[in-house]
Amino acid sequence: MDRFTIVQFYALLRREVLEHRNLFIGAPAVVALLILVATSWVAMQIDETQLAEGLSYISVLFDGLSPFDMAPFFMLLAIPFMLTLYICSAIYLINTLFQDRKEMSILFWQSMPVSNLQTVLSKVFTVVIVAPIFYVLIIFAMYLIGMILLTILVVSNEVDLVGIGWMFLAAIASLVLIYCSALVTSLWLLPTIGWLLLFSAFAKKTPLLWAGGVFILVGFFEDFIFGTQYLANWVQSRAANPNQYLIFEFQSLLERIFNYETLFGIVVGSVLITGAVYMRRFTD
Amino acid sequence: MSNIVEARSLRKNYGNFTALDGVDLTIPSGAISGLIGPNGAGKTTTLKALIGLCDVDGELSVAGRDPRRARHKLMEDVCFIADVGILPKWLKVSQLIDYVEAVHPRFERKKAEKFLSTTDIPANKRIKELSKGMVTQLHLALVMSIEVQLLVLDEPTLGLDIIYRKEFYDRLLNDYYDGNRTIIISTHQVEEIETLLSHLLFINKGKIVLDTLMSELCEVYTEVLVDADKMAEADACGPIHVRELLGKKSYTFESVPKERLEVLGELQTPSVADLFVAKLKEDRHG
Amino acid sequence: MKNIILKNRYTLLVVTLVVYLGVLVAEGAITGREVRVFEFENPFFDFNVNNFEGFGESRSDSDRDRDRDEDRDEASGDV
Repeated sequence: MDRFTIVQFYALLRREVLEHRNLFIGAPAVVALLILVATSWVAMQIDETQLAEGLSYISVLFDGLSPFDMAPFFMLLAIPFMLTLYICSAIYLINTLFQDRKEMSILFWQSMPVSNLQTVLSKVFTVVIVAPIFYVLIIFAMYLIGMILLTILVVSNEVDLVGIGWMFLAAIASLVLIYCSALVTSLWLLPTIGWLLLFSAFAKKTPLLWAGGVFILVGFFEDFIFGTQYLANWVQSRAANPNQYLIFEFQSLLERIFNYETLFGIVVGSVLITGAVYMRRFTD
Repeated sequence: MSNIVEARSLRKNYGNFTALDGVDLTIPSGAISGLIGPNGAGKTTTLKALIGLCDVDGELSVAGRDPRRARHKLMEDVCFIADVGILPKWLKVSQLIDYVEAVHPRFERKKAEKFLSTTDIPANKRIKELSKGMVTQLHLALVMSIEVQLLVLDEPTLGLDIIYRKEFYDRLLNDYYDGNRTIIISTHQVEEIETLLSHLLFINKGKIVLDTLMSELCEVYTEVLVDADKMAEADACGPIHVRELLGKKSYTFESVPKERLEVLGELQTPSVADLFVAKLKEDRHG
Repeated sequence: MKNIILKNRYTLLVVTLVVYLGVLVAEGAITGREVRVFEFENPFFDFNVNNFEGFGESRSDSDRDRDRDEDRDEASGDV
């Protein structure tokens, strides 16, 4: 891959982020603000000295322990961000190949020497690799503000600061876990990503309705023709597997990616993404 | 002279509607070619087919490539401006320039900035905040900064006021055209471009009804202002079109020797607009 | 072949979905996934091509089963 192709791809990714700032930066910023406000409000209901002592007590638990071992304690805070990321990604994916056909700006994008494959891959990359980076940066900013507020509280109550630094390091280490969780989940959900992109590229109107409607119909169709429900079984087994959506330890990371179910899902997702790439040629 | 575009038997249907009904055309390299036709004639479909934005049946070669196979490779050698405002509305002007610079290997940023400095377009405004005329100016500035063999313009001045329209064609001719590049312009506003053209294509109901170089036009087509006493004789020569003009009649002839027509009245070469109407009416009457 | 698949957006969608379903059904059959996940009480939902001739019989069978169960429930006072 030459330098020009990399520069081109980077420009495509930049375009996606600029166009969808609300989904990739605005939404997690709102969630972070809500968490900070809610936590501050709860803290103000408790007696300040007791709060400071309680925090100091908890922070001692972190003292001297590896941040990566303690990182999982912060994963609960990640849950609202992960949910926001999945919802925003779904909204992005179902609209991204539809909107520019509706507005006719597709005629400009396709008048540039960028292939349909590059275009569609840039959108997959945006969801799988790029969006989680912004979410993690905002969570980091939230932790930083939280840490400053905590430090002020603890210092003004003349309580020992020992573990606060370690707690912060564990929070930072959790950011790596959060990013890895998002990556693992995206790879797990590649069939969904492909399905949404396919119908985003296909539909002339209401792409979400097409995506949902055809999904149900394909299931009934399989039953009608083959008498089997393998599709329903497969979807059910994927949706109801909570371990794939949040990882709590680094050791299981490779295992979550390199297992049969994930790899088969990547194959299925690739079939659908290929359909979306070819579908892009129909510009009307 | 080689041909930059060669098309044979292009066909395209949208449901029951036939947009292209066996289009054959060739466009010589270095020409300024006008694709003229009424609304719904197939102009936009033809141009979109040339740049691979529309799948058509038939044989097609543009700048030595089949547009349907590798559109993105073709786009390194071809630029396109459409009639509708197709620049993405949410982008800022500076972001658009950054994007084109990153994705197009032949784009020269300095040229674009030089063109834009002669306009009133601010770099930090979003495209949705610009007037229609400014959007066209911007798109033209971008396109003129890219070294390509072929420029395809689909009704580029549609809906613009006279100042922007005049400026558009002035810039195109003076700052861009160098005799080597080919420009294809589609329009139904014939008068505006007829002085620019070196090659002429008329399209009607999905078929090409005229394909000629301007230099050959005067040899093939003749307009005669005929007196009342010579009208029967003029009718006998088989005109393709007749119209009333201040008490006399103006006859248009195709491929009739000038010696035969000289006796009928004053000879002149028809304007592109008059020829267009003539060919359209001929087509209507079969 | 490519001309047929890429004739229009509808043919392309159908082909993509056929490949998608084909891969899933093949994988399910090879790896021995559970064949049925949902059972529908309404026999119309169980209607499939293989059961076409037996459809009429199976419908009256399920009606008979339902009536028998209702009678049993009434008798035991479980309504």
